[in-house]
Amino acid sequence: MMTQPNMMTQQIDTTIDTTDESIDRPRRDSRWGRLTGRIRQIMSPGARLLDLGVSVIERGVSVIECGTRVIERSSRVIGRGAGVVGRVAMLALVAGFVAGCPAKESGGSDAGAAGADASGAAAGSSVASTAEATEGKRPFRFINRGDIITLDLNDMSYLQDFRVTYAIREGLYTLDPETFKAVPALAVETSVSDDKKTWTFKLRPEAKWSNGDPVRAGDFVFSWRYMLEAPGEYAYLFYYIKNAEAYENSYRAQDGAVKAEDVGVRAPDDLTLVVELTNPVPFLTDLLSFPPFYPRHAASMEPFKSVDDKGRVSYKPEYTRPPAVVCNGPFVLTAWEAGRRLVMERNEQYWDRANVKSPGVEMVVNNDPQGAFIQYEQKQVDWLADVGPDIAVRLFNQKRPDLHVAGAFGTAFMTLNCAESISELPGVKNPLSDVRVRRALSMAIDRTKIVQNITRMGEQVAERYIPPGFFPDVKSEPIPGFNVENAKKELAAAGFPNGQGFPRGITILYNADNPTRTQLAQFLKAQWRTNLGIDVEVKGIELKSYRNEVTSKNYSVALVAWYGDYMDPSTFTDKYLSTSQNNDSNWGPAAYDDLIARAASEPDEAKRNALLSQAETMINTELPIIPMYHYVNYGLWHANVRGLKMNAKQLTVFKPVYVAE
Amino acid sequence: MKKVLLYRLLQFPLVLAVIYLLTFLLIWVAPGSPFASESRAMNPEALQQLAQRFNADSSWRFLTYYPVRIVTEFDFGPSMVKRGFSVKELIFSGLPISMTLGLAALGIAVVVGMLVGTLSAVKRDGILDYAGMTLTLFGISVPAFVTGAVLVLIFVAWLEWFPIGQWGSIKDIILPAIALSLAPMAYIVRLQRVSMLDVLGADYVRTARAKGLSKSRVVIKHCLRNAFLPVLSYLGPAAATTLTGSFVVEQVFSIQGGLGRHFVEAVTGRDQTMVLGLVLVYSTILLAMNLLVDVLYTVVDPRIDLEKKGA
Repeated sequence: MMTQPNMMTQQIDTTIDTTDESIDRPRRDSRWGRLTGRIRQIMSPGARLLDLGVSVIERGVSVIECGTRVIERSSRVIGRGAGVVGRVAMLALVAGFVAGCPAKESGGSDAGAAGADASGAAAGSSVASTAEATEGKRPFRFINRGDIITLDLNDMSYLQDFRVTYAIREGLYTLDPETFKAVPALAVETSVSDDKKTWTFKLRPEAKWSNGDPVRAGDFVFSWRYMLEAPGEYAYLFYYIKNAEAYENSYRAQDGAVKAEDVGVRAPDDLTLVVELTNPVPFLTDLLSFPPFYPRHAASMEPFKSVDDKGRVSYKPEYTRPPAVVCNGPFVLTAWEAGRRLVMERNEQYWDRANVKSPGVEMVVNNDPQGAFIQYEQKQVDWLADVGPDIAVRLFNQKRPDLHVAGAFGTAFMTLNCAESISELPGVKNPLSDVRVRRALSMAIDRTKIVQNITRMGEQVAERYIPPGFFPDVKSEPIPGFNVENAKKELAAAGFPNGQGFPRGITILYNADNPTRTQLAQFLKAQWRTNLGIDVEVKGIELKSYRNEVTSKNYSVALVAWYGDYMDPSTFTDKYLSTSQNNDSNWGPAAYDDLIARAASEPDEAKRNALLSQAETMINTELPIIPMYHYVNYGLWHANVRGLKMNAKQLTVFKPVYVAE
Repeated sequence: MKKVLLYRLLQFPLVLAVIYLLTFLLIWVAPGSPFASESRAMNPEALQQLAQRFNADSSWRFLTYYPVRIVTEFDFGPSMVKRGFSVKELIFSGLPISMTLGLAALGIAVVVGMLVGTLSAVKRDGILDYAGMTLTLFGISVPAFVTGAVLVLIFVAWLEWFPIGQWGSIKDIILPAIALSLAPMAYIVRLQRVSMLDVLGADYVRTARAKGLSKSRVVIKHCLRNAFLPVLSYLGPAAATTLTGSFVVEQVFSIQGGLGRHFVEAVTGRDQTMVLGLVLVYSTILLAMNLLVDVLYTVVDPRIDLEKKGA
């Protein structure tokens, strides 16, 4: 249930190189073969390593990227041909260093590992003395996706932040560690009114905060209201609650039109929470298991309160740092060094502490995929949550048993600007505003080539917008798939036979820090030229600039992605409402809005699914976006890790996770 | 001397103010906001409200709030991206890491560089000279991410002598310090060699030799000090760059929390307060280093008079 913004930056890939395997194979056994393999492996992320180059130059291929390619090529040549000379030179170099190093250094890594174990054991024992029998003897260590951005529930939007929040906080519902469906946590009893608009939750009386205070219904009311008073990216999820959006706007303007008490969340007593919705929300429990809906401990946040000149209250995000932070999850945050690490220890106040199996969890920061992988291989960490795509492809081909892959709740697609006139085509009617052109573009792409040659992790080719397998009851028409004949016909019908007269200037925009997208853009350009006879440009720019261009609809074609936030088709279909902030396509017929609105107020599940199917069919056939493939998630963990499971939304339930000896 | 020092020190605030304004201008006009995330669009009004919490909803508000705070409280404000941490805190937790690494690298570069440079000049056209010149060519032209990667590959991934991504013991510093020292070392070797050759040809050296002093004595006593000046002028900016962290080396060796990474992340994330804080700290170090070098000039060569030069 989260966005995966870093997806883009993490998608590193080596060039599509068929010679890759053929060079590697005969040499793989030898040390030299491993060495050259490593050189290439380490060289390949050069482009990412020097993101700076891209951001400064803001062009598709930075100078540094070119340089890296050259080095990569030449290292390959050395690996292939240099033979004796290269080996001797390398050996001499190594020998020189060997001679120069004191003898005890050769045992260095062992000493380091022993040291790490000792410290781990020490930490373990200090915790074990206070805890009941835990199955894990030492803290579970992992490398998250990048560093933590924020642990303030209001502003949170990155996967790595949510991941840690699942360990230290808990809501009315949590996730089942096997099925990842929402199951009750702080709620012991849930009842729904007949019109499905009023939900009443009875709270677990023994639930406590990490400082010993009981968790009360008022903590939810406080937290949810604050979500609207200082809204972040996920405030929109609260708009299902009565008067929530109105209160957010009223509070911003400080006009007093809507009061805090008017919002549909109340606490009649300490253990009862009543939630009133504007429409039936069948996926409410799923939302309640998502961090923005977690409670907060108001008293501990009080010292961080500040009031602005308009009288609006906000809390400085410092409240999320130890020792000030008060949590209610299986673990408590005990140390947080920005950019370095995060330490969590078992929460002795947690109501279900008997089922928390690890004495602690430690998050290590390493933003470099190669370095992170080496740390994992040297067993400095138990779990590598985010694997560099080039490494993942290699391990995937080797069938490594510790690589875990699962289909993701997300789709890679391109968004088309459907406005009649766009800035890239001054004085010309935008051909993309014609549905026949959009259909032709979709039918001219051989998607199997994308997953086989570019992404290479067993991704599924997209036949629809919504990823398959999650909502069997939503039965929509598929998109027009690969068919060159029909593509040509559609294009001719739109007035561009064999691409003649197709205006120049259509550009595929993407973020240049993502090599997969760089390849994808080139591939699409080639496909359209070969199959339709039309020429488009490709343009890779720096990530923030790219986001800016897309959200301000200043593009013609852009490579984008969408991950669902909650387990309901509406998390995908709502994006293309004409009123949605996230609709970048300039497409938004009234009929579509109408379908979504009817689905939202429909209490009958079958009818609702039928309406959403119709809505998705509209997207699949009118193609404001052209779906390409569905993502997969992957992670690495060692065989002695228990309780982890790969899943579609990349969620982590830390309670059952521990390291077996 | 004291007058010049005072004069130079008084220039600092002015120079820093200009740097601050120019940097602010650049980061402010860069597309994208530190508050907008990379996946979900936010209601523009909510975005504005968030920016207001950071006193960054307008350039006027920013400029009337942050510079004042820097001057009065020596506080750069909160980081706009790493929410919950102040810029000051992030910089001063990263500075020791980058400085340790930088000092180690600089030490290696100066010691090895001076030694090889001097010997190459003394034994001109000898084996050491040719070997030194060839290797320095590599040092200058091969970027740190290549040498760093090769070091990681050999000593970490292959031989497994050193760990990666750790910080605290000498062992964690050796490899990155070597990688970081190569480029300045190569420059120092070449500068030292050239200026040593100059000095060796000077009349007073011939005189000293004619008096019957041994060659090594002449080199150490008479030449080193005079040949050191060009190296010294290079050391100022080189120290500033190595001490304030290298993104490339930090990345290759997975050193976490250093200034280099903070800098790059701040720029790509449009973390305005963080960028400005880092630029100010970096500029201050650069200015201080240049001043220090000027002062050291007079120590090394008493003929140089800052009063006259400064005036």
